[in-house]
Amino acid sequence: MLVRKARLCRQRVVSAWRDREIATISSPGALARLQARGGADPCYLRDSDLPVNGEPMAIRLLRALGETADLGELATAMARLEQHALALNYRDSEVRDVARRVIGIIGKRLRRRLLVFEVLALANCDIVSLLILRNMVDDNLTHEYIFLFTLPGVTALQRVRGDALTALAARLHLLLEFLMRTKQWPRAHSLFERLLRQKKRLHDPRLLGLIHFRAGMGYVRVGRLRSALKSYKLAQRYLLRAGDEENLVKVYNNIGNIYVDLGRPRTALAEFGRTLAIAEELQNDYSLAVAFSSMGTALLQSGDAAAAVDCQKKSLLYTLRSGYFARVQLIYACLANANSALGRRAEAEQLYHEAYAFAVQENERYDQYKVKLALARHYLVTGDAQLGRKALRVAEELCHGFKNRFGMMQIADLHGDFAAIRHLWPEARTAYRRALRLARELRQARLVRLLQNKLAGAVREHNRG
Amino acid sequence: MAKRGSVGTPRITVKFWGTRGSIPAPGRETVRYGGNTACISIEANDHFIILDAGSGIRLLGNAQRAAGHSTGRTLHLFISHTHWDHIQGLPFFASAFVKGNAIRVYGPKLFHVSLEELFSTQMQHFYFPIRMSKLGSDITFRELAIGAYPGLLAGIDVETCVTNHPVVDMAYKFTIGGRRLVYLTDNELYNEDYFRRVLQTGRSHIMATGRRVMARLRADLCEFVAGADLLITDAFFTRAEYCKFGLGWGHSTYEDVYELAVAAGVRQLCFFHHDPNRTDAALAAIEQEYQRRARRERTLDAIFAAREGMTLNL
Repeated sequence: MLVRKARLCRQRVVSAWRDREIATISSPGALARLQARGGADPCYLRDSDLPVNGEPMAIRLLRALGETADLGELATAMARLEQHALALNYRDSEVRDVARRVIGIIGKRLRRRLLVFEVLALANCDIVSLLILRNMVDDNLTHEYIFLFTLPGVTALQRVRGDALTALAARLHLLLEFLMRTKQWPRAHSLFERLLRQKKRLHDPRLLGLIHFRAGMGYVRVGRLRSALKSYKLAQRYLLRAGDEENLVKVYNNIGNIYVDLGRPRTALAEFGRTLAIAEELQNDYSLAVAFSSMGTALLQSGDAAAAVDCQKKSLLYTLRSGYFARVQLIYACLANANSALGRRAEAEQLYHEAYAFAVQENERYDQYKVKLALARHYLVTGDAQLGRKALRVAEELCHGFKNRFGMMQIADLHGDFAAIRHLWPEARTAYRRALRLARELRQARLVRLLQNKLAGAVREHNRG
Repeated sequence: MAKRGSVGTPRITVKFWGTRGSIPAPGRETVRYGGNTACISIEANDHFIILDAGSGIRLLGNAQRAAGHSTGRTLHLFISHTHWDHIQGLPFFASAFVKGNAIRVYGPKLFHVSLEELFSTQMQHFYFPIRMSKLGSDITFRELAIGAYPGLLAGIDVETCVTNHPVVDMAYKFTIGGRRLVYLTDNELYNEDYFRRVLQTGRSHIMATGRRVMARLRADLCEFVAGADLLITDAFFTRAEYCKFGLGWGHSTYEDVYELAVAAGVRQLCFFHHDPNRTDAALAAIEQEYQRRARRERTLDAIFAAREGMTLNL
């Protein structure tokens, strides 16, 4: 594919960068700054840098990359490098080394503006795919490079057609996943909107399903639950058509989670039932862990705390089987919620503490916020207003960070509740009003009704006092 | 080996009808320990409890019919999980065909599918000529969550916990007149090899979290079996077999279950759910090795491998 594209585009040299963002970021000054932050110039390839037991093929390719001005050769080299790197089980440090040099060389090309635009777009996206798939992007500098090298791809989206469009969109989808995983939310948001604009020209149902799925995740992050639900439903439709059960299981689970957030546990349980059924069929321990945990959350919301504990314990077991311990803090938080509902206060608080500590270690600010919000709710039930408000303040600070209006509404509601249990009616009234305004903005009819009742109660109590 | 209960405490009789795991393994090399899959009966407090419905349950049904008390009984069947070797005998269980009998089936709660549906599926037309609804006995199902069920049967407390197996699997602890019997089958005990398998790479704090989770689950399990008078547990692999191909299959090694039993202060340890490829000679050698070890280390009162037809009085 890459070689064919190279041949097709060999004569079309891009004379000007049309995208202002690319023009800015790919300027020699910007690159130099990036390289300065990373220490040594990664463009510089010395023999002494070569791994002693490195692969001669890879090294030859690197040299070719460094020296060639031939685009076809470059594209071939890139494709071969990718195949080679994937085929050989490189040790991480070696691959990182190789990949950084490749990035540097492409950067050099970029500065000289020698590459045909579409070839550059695909080649860069290939490198990025390679790096992401090989899990070699673990620092901020590499994140910047990744972003830089995919910008031509993003711009090329509108121009390419047919198979080339599908190929490019598939690579950019991988980038989208990466941006979301590394919490680069504004970039992710911008990318999925650009990808969705090409919806009518893309004919791969799986890819479309995945793009909608990522879009849904992005909307959840900013608290746009209705948009998220719409995206997930579209993802579900496309993935069903594509028969992609591996991803369908995630979509059902995320739809269920939205219903939990919207306070509709019965609908959520039906979705989680589907999730569990598919996860069992796939015999995927990780999916089972997620599905059981989600099922537990919905069961707790529907009032069955004992069954919720059961589900969370099963989830923990499958987490252990899958080895994906990054989820542990969520399960601990859910288990803490269930224990809190069962009145096991000490156990619940211990689990909240562990969940939060783990989220801090992982630098998962969204999870930190979720845990603090849950802890505040726990203190509301136990009547510890001081501790509850303290937890809520931390949650609020975190929530401001990612501008989640749904979260802000929940926090305002909880502020009102805490004021109400201390009979601070003017304060409760103000908080409920704020929550109500946000609920109206978010068109959450059920929550609007709930908050109207709370506000009416606070006003009544205030007038009585 | 097993000791009789003292005067005044209920008599508990445990009998093994099937001891193999995975698949029935009839033949000359499995005569001593038996070739039928998991099934154990417990008689206590006028209750008849059956643990799992592997192919061994056919022999139990035949024995009940031969003894002439196959009608008008209530049988409590506790299912660990729904893999074939634990349910395949039910369609051949004579007592299930007798009108007037009641079979109360208990098993893990699965949430998205009922236990009854799963049992019915194995008796669908394509797999078996008689549907479950056509069986003469009154069969009812009750799904249990993880937790304690005091007095689930009159005079018998039941506690459950989830085990480490690819499908949801439940262990049962029966407390009868102060004596504890734990049935823990199809479980992979957490150990270093297992940890290395699930977490080959990872950042240090993730590794640390993984270890904490594993330690917590291990401690929960240890607490569950603590002080058991009899622990009947899955012992499927030798250490070498486990490391070579058994990691993640959801079964334990003899060594790991021995260590668990010692740590938990178990009185009698019974190796169960034997590998279908394990010959009588090989199993006898393992049994003797651990009996010597227990004597040498002065740990357990008794340690033995379950034999088909073996009866114990607790």
